[in-house]
Amino acid sequence: MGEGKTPPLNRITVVLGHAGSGKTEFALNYSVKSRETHKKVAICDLEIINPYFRSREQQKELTDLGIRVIANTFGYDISEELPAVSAKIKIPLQNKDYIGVYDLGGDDTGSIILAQIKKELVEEDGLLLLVVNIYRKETCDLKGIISQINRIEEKTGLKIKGLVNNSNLLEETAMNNIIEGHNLLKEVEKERGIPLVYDMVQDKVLSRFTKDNTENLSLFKVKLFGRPSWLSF
Amino acid sequence: MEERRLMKGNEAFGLAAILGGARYYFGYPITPQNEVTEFMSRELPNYGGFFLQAESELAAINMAYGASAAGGRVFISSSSPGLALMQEGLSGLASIEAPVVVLNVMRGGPGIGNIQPGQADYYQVTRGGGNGDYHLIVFAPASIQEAMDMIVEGFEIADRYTNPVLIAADGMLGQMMEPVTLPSMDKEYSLEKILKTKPWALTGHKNKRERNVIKSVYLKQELLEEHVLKIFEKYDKAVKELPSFEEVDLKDAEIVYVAFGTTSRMVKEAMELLKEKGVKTGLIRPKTLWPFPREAFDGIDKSTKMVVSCELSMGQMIDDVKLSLKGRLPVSLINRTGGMLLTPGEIVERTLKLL
Repeated sequence: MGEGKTPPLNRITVVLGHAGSGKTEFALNYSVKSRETHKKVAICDLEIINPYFRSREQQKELTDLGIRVIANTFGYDISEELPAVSAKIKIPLQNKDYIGVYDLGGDDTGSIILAQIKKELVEEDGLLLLVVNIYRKETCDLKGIISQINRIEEKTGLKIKGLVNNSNLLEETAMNNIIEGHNLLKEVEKERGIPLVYDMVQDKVLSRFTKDNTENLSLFKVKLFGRPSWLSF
Repeated sequence: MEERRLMKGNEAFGLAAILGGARYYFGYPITPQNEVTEFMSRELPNYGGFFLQAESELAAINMAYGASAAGGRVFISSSSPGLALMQEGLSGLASIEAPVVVLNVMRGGPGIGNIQPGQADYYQVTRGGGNGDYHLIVFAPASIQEAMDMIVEGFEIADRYTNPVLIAADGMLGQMMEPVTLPSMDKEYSLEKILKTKPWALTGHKNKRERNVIKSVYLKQELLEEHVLKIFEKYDKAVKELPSFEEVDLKDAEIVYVAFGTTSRMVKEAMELLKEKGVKTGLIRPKTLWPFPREAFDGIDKSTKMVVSCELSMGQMIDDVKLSLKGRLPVSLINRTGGMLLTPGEIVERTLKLL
């Protein structure tokens, strides 16, 4: 089976993508997998757009796994937060013992926040990953994805260095959905020279596939943190 | 196979309104429905529509009043406290018999409350916060697809009954993602069509016909009574034609749950868990909250000992459940409120205590 490289791919990883592309689920799973091989892992929730489904909601579970969650909240209460970004977001950049994962808000708007840590990101050669689901209208074709890459790079002045294929229809996901996403992102790779690093797939969806048809993929298996089980009913 | 797309609830609601023919949207931002307003500002002009961010919810509902009176297909959206501000306008819309589709992405209350999902607007939407004798026609979707379909159908029903139709969604439906199939696009909504299908609309008489008058003031009491009775003829018809519900496993059920919207999905998982424990349960899921589907309760089996209303409120729909049962069975409540959600596990636990 085509497994992707074991995370972390870099000491500092920044996860970007369209609203609803699956950024947060990727960032959470990436942090958990990074923790398996590294003692100090921190996830920084820089979601400044959406008040629902954010990394900081999973603080308790992540802390129990030994992952430090950095967000602008007090304790575990997600409602007691400041509309400001904590200076603590620089901890993983400055303390080189840390593996740092930055989970951003959607689109180029959500990426503006990188301006605050741009200098350190450049110094530390931070890895910017773009998560793409081709079943989201705005990133359903080559033009849409390239346009998103351009907008994020223009706004942040930073380069996206890897693509994550998260093409899915949740429980309805079939093998061909993942392959279609993979193929489209391979075209982006060709066009822009940005490598496709992972094909993300839900654990329970993967169990439905045979090993043969996953050979060409760089699988990144995930468990969904933010989605309650009853939404499958 | 039809094309499936992954959409966030609030975007899907906006798109459904456009595909259903809405060409006027007036809104004022409020979480957790902001993406609807954002989506309409971006997309509606691409379909030849008109978007306006109002200075308040009061302004938005009164702009809807004007646009609908002129024959436009109007969509507005808000969330609980915002809808509270619109109540005067909704009473007015019902009185002038103006078709508008209103989306309420409900959140925790009372007061400003919070931005988490809730269902405590049941009274607000079914009993009305506005004055006088009127009803809103209220649909309660349980999935994003169902919400899209109800919004599209809502425009037809609003036109047919010349009355506002309200879609009672919640913060979870607005914020979550689900795969959907897009409804087909309604044909262009032209002035010709308005003139033909809405002869009452204020389109300008141009000295070619009698003036149309739209008003909600009837100073002579005989005339106001006559007006209200005329409106209530429509409501009588709605009570016969519109009630809609889903029923699950009523046969042999020991307990029957009643739940609408997202809560029904929490209940469905709980039902599976209870089945494993040997407890047979059924579900009545009202798809319309007004008119309430009272006939659904005729389908309850003799095996049923208790009906449980599951709600994200202190128990509001439970009144309609009791009215529907007319004392035939005891009714209990399993609920959370203030933006807290029930979990399937909690429903199971509290159900076992009731047995």
